[in-house]
Amino acid sequence: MKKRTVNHIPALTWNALRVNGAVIEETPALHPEKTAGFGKLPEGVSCREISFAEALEWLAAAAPEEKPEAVVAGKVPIYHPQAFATGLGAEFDELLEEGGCRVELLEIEDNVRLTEPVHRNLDFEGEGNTFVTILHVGKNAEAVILLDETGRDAENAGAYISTKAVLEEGARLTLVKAQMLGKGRKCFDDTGASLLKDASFSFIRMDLGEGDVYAGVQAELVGKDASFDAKTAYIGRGTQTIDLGYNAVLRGPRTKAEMLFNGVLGGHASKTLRFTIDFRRGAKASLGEEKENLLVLGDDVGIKTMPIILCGEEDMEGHHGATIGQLDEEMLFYMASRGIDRKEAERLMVRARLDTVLRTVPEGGFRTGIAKYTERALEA
Amino acid sequence: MTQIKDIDRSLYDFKDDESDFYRLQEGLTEETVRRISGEKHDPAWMLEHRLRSLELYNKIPVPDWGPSIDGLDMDHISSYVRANTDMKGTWEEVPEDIRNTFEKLGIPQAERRSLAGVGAQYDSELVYHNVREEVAQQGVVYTDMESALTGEYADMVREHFMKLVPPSDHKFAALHGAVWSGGSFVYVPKNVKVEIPLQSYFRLNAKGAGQFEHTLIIVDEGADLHFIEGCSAPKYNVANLHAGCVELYVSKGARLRYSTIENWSKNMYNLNTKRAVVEEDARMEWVSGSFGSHVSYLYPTTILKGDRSYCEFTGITFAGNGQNLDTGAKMIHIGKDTSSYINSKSVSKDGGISTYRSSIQIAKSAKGSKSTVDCASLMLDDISRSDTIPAMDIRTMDADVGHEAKIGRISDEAVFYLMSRGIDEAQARAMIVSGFADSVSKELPLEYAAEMNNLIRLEMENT
Amino acid sequence: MSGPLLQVSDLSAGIEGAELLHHIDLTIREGETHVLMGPNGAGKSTLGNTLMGNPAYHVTGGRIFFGGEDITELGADKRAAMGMFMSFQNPLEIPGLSLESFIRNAIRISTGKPLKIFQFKKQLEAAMEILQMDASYVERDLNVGFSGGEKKKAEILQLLMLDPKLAILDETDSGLDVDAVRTVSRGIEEYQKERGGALLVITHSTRILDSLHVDRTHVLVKGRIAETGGAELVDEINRGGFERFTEE
Repeated sequence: MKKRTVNHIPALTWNALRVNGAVIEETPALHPEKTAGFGKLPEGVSCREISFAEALEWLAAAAPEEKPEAVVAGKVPIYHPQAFATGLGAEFDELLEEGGCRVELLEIEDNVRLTEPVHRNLDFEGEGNTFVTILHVGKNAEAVILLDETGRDAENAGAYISTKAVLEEGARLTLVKAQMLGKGRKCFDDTGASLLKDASFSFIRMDLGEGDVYAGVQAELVGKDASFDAKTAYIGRGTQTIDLGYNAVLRGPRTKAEMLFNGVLGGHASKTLRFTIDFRRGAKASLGEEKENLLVLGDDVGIKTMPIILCGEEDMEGHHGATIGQLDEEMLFYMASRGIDRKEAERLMVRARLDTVLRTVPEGGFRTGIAKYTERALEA
Repeated sequence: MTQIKDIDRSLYDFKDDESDFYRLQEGLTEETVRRISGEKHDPAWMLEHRLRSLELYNKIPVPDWGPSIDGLDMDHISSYVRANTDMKGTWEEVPEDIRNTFEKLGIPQAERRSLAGVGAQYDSELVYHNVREEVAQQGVVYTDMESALTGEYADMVREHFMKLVPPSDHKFAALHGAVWSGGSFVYVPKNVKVEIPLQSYFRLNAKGAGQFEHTLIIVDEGADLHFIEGCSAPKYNVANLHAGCVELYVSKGARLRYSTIENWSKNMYNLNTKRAVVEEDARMEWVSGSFGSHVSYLYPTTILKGDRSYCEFTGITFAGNGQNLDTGAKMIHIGKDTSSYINSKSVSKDGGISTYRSSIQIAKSAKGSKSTVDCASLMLDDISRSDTIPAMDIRTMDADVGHEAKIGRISDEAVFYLMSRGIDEAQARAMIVSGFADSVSKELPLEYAAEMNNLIRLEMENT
Repeated sequence: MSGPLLQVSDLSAGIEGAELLHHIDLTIREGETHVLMGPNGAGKSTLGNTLMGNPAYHVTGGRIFFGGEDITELGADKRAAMGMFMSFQNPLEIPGLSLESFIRNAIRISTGKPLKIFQFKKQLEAAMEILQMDASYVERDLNVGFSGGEKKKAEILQLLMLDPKLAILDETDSGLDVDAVRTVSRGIEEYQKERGGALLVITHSTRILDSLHVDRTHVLVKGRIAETGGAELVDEINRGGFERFTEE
């Protein structure tokens, strides 16, 4: 089996820390069989299947030009060429291509504003376990796409998801990924997006499942005034591995990237979170903000965090903040003075962390479903 | 926009004629290492250590993660250059040209004024060493590394030498292990408080040379020391290399403050390794200003081994034209209730690259630990770079970790505010940068704070 | 009349090794309002926090009884469940947890009984009306983005909803403008007069006391109760400050 590195960071650091990327020794079998598809689509939206090679070609045209020397200039070069940048990276694309995956190209025509979210259940109980999609959101089009990833406990099963989004000028896309996979399922969930002028991409991810997760996102803010907002909540328990890699590349003037990570970690779980805001020269008057809140509830956890800010532009503002630890004494006392004991205080705080993200999910059955799953997870 | 000129380095750029100095062939072979060892009359274990290090050096690859060191051609760097002078105990005995160098740097004056002891290293050898009598009477040992190897404290040195920074650590630690020369040994006995700072000054004068001084400081239980290290070199067109090593042992209940103002010339590859181990209830304080060198890899590491041990790191890095300075700190929490604080500032201008790099590791044993990182970066133009690459690795729930990073530029509003009070733009910007660096400069002894502010002003203004 | 609600006898306490309170005796009966005044740094907040059981403060001597039970060693949540409450000087912010949900959970957990939602909603509305709080507040995250005045109102809202037997108000009026003090006072008045709740009002000014009936006033200086008197002591301090009490 070929070793693959996913979620590599754009600027390497000490190898001994083992945070430069997630090295995957072995991946569960990949089944590129056809899956249910998007079903009936509203007017102005179409979907067709293309080959992986065609997809890469299609994407390459939409990707911003990348000069290797512009990637963390001044450091030992570590450039990983990829037709269209994603969080998990080139080696994951390779895996999908070698596995014979086909790609669904979902296109939303210019100026089409979908009033209802497009919901698709990615059910891993079926034959296929790959969902490779390109979302093409036309000029000034608007869409909300909800993906829930489900599947009961299984033995060494894989879940392979790749979502690449091309947002034309003024396009607005909300993409929600709720991962609720059972034990023994290893989830690889990759996202990449390129945003032209005035485009806005809101990405919401909830990792509530019980299997290992490798999830990555890369957003390329190419056009002026493009904005990227990512909110992520996760709960790690048991012996889970949660490995997240987020990368916002600010290229255009007045672009804006915000990332929030709310996590809870207990049992023997381990998580690695690498998140980068990369201000490229020319991203004048741009803003980048990253925030991590991690509540630690178990004493056998492993926590790795790399909050990176790269900057080649003067006229910008970047900020990062992280708080990692258990509930502090002051908070516990405040809760206690209202009659809430430690155990209950922890439950309230766990819920608060998840709710902060959950409440940004568009209302309706989808949100209720996630809320129910969350409740069950918290009861356990 | 005001033109901000490069620093006027005339203060540091004077160089002495090295024609009559003894110089080894360029490159690094076993023969070279044996010769260095012979010259220094090393004890047998040291020769062995050097040869083992050389072997490691040839095996370990160059780092694949930091600034490029392609400009450094190890085959053409004489690893050992020594001035034709033995170490002296008074400045009058130091040869005039070398003495002049240190006079210009203000070292003898500072010694008279406010230092407990001074060591001055010129290229590879210590040329001057002196400790105030009252400090010596307290039992404080401050001597050059070579004499320490064979003197009264030989066993202590052998027990600690390159135990904190083993040659296997990385390529340049191995290089250091093979060719180290010069440096200081300090021992502060139990419960002795050294009231005024000790200082070492390193001056690399020869062209295309390397300086590999070794500093070993042992602060015994309950003792207290402030050690100051200063570095400079004139500018040549050939790359110079500094691969020093600093090992600090802070015993139970002791306190050590280690301050550095590094102003190597901008052709220097500064690949320095500094590490401290801190025992129970002891306290380590790093104060670090990085202004010079072409490329720097510098991350003082602290192992918080004892329960309730404490470390704070305060640093500033100023990267100007042609500089790629990769600096930061590493904290390793092992003992219970340990705490670490990092306060880092960086400024980039004129195409300079500054990188803040750190790692915080909290072991499972480090219950009740606390770590806070606060780093701020300032970009002065859009041809420069500033990167922040921190890593945290936490293995216990009973730890409280906070990390804040900010990057931005000088706000137009702040400049306008100062200008509305009659200050011109260049001065206003310099004032803002000085203010930005204030949390670091106020940690330095007065004359060092003045030197640092001077350096900032030189960097910021056209004077 | 039954025994006192709160009895503090010979209490000494402090923070991280420093003793800040020395030999305090204090008795509060049901429905009484006591005022604790004193200059900055006298130890007023230390007393409030020690009574409520803040683990950052350590009792170094003496006992605290509530409803006849020794609570000196009890955790704050147990004290709250017995009917104690403290409004914080700097209430904490909790993103993701709404004000309403927080109060609901606090009631559910401290009473150990399921909540009657309809009744709860009605009470909440009524309490918010008294405090002139906009209905939208219940949906907002606890104290997140609240102004100083809004935070204090949210504290008094919790007081009214949790309906304790004794409320310790720690500098509830500090940093508030005149209108806000009036609104907050209305909430405290409701608690005092309509519910018959006992109060320990910690303050260094007297504005908040204008509309309250005061039974006893204690002046705390350097960790000791320098003088105890009736409501008239408040007026005296109003006129002459603490000078008389601080003279050696």
